[in-house]
Formats: sequence, structure tokens, C-alpha cells
Amino acid sequence: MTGINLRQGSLTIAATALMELMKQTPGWDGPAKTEFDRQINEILGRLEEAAIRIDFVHYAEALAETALKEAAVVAVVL
Amino acid sequence: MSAAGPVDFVVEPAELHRFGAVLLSTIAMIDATHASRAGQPVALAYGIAALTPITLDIHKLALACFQSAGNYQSCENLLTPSFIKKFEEIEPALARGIAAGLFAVDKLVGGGESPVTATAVATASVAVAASIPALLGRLQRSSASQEILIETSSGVSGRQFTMYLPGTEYWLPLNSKKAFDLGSDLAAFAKPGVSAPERAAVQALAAEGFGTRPGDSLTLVGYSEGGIIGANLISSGAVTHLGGRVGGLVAVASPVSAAQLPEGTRVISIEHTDDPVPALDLAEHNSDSNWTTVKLAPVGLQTHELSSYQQSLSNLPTQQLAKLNEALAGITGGRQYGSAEITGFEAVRTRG
Repeated sequence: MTGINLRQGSLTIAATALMELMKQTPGWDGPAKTEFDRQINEILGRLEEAAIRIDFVHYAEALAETALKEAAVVAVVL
Repeated sequence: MSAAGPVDFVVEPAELHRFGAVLLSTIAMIDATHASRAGQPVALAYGIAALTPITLDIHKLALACFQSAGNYQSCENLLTPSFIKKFEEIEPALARGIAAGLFAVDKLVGGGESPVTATAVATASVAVAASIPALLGRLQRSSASQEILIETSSGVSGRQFTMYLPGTEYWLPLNSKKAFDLGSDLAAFAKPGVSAPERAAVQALAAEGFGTRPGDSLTLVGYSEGGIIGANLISSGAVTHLGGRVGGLVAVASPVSAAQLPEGTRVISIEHTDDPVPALDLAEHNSDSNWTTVKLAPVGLQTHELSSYQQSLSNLPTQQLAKLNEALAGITGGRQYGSAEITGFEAVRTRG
């Protein structure tokens, strides 16, 4: 299983579907299969990286929103 | 050397079709994650930018599966090509739909489009920019000052205008005074005729008297968002409405492949092979008699930076650059020498 965050449910399902594809035809062998697997693995790696970066942006934005709200509350109190 | 043995296909064409279908369904799953970030415009925009290149590659892999299946069967498959064609037709619409959704979110958080004014800030005399590298030099100047530049010179058949449009300056989906911001980016991507930079550009052209004399011709040159604005100015009819004619569009690092331009419009689209921005419209436009798409190998990691495009162009073989300049001459009417007047316009939103 990749490290894709479960919160991004559809991304996890997509990654799982891609991983399953590589196991589907045990009899398929040779350069084409090797290339197919290589490309799927490469896409999985990029998906995982993207998910991590998107999570980071997501949390940073949520944090900024919270800070803004708290600043507004402090301003009202003052 | 031994003779080659009989070819043994160990994967059925039907299986390859199924693989292609699974790959296409993963694109839909990945696209579905955008909805989960609808309340967070920054994460949403970032997610689309990060995931679009990946879905494009999955799409290519799916097409390869379908094509391989077709080759194995050694006959035309009537269903699959039509399915692929339909899928390719809806992709640009899908990209525009996502942009329209993001634009709606931007309006909700206080951004969105507003009245805008274009004010002339400086005029200078310059040599005519007659080559693609010279145009990129002007674009760099336009991006640095965040001004719409209009270069005017006299040609044999009338006045030649060249408008330079910069890329997005302000990336936060909040109230901004800048016309070239995330809001206008999304608005321009969603549909022509709405965005603040387009309206500012029309004001600037009118101020320069474009279209008031017979033979006035305009070349639009845009970087990133500026390229979309240029395409929209042509497709909305805003330029011809002023009375002049459109020479063509030079778009650098812009998603303009899906633009609905009048037939015969001359376009040069310069893209880096791994810059995700030109691919945001999920479409590709191959070169033909009016359209030149140039895919450059990027220099360095900043594949979307204008300076990186300038560097890539400087590495282009002389013959290829000459061909590109020839295509430019088809747009501008072949101006080579002489002087021009250039005016910078500041485009500012006027909401309170």
C-alpha cells in the first residue's frame, strides 16, 4: 500500500486500482509488460508525492483560516 | 543465429481494453478528489495543478492500451476509436467546467471579477520587435512591470499594433487590486469576454486608437494567463469590434490549444515539454498551416518561468528559430526594421 492519505479517499482507490492492474495478468511477460509496470509504478510515485504536497497545502490553508478567525475574535474582544 | 520462434500473445486484446477502461476510471477518481477541496480554494487550485499532469499521463497509457488491442486484432475497432474521440472532445469542456467552479468559489470568498481601468503610465520609442526572442524580451518587460504594453509602428498596409500581456501576478483568491490575479485567471479560463484583463486590454487598445484607421492590425503576445487573455480577445470578437483586424496570437506557456478561434487565425504556441500549465486545458493542438506548436526542452527546473523559456529559445538550432520567425512574419506581415512607440498600461480593479 502506498502512503497516500486515507482522507483523500478517491486518490487511494485510484492508486489501489492502478496497483491491481499490475497483478491482473500473471502470464503476460516481456518488454511490454515491464514497460507497462514501470509506467504504472512511476505514476503511483507521482500520485503519492502529489498527495503529500496537496495535504501540506490543505493544512497550511486550514491553519491560515483558523489564525484569521482567531485574530478577528481577538480584535473584537480588544 | 537462431530463427525467431512463433509470436505468442499472452495478453488478450479484450484484457487490454479492460486495462484502458480501468485507467480511464482512475482519472475520474482522481478528478473526484477536487470536489473534496471545494471549500479551500488554494488547496483546490494546487490540487488541480499537481494532479492534471498525472491524469494526462494515465490518459496516454489508456490510449496505448486501446491502440495495442487494436493492433493485436489487426483490424479496425469501430467502437474504441469513437469512444476515445468522444472522450477527447469532452476533456477541454471538463477543464473549463472545473475553472468555472473554481471561479464561483473565488467569488464566494470575496474575489471574482470587478470593474477595471487601464491607465497609460509611460511611453517610449523602441526598435520594432521583429523576432520571437525580441517578443519574449518585451514580455519579460511586461511581466516585470505588470503592465499591458502596446507597441505601434507604421507598416506598408497600415499601422501595426502588438499587445504584450503578462502572466498572473497575484495568486491569492481574495480581493486584489491587480487585474492579473487568480480570479481573472479562472474567469478567463472558464469563458471569453468576462475577465478584468480582457476589459482592460480593450480600454488600452481604444486609448491607442486601434481600429480608427484603415489597415490597423493587431498581434497579441501573451505569457501564461496573458496567452489565454489574448486568445479570448480574439474569440470574443472584442478586437475586431474595435474596427481593426487580428494578425494572430503568440502564446508562451499558455493553455490555448482548446481556444475556439475563428478559422484561419494564425497562432504560435511555445511550450516546455514538462510545463504543466499549457496542458491545463487537457488538449493538444498539432501544428498545421495556421497553427505552430513548438515544444521546447526546458532549461533548469523552473519550467514555467518566462526566463527559462528565453533560455530554451536561445538553445534552439538556428534553422528552427528561423522557421519560427517565419511563422511570426506570417502574423505580423513581415516587419523587420524601423522604430515603434511603446506605451505601458496599468490595469487596476476599481471596486471599493
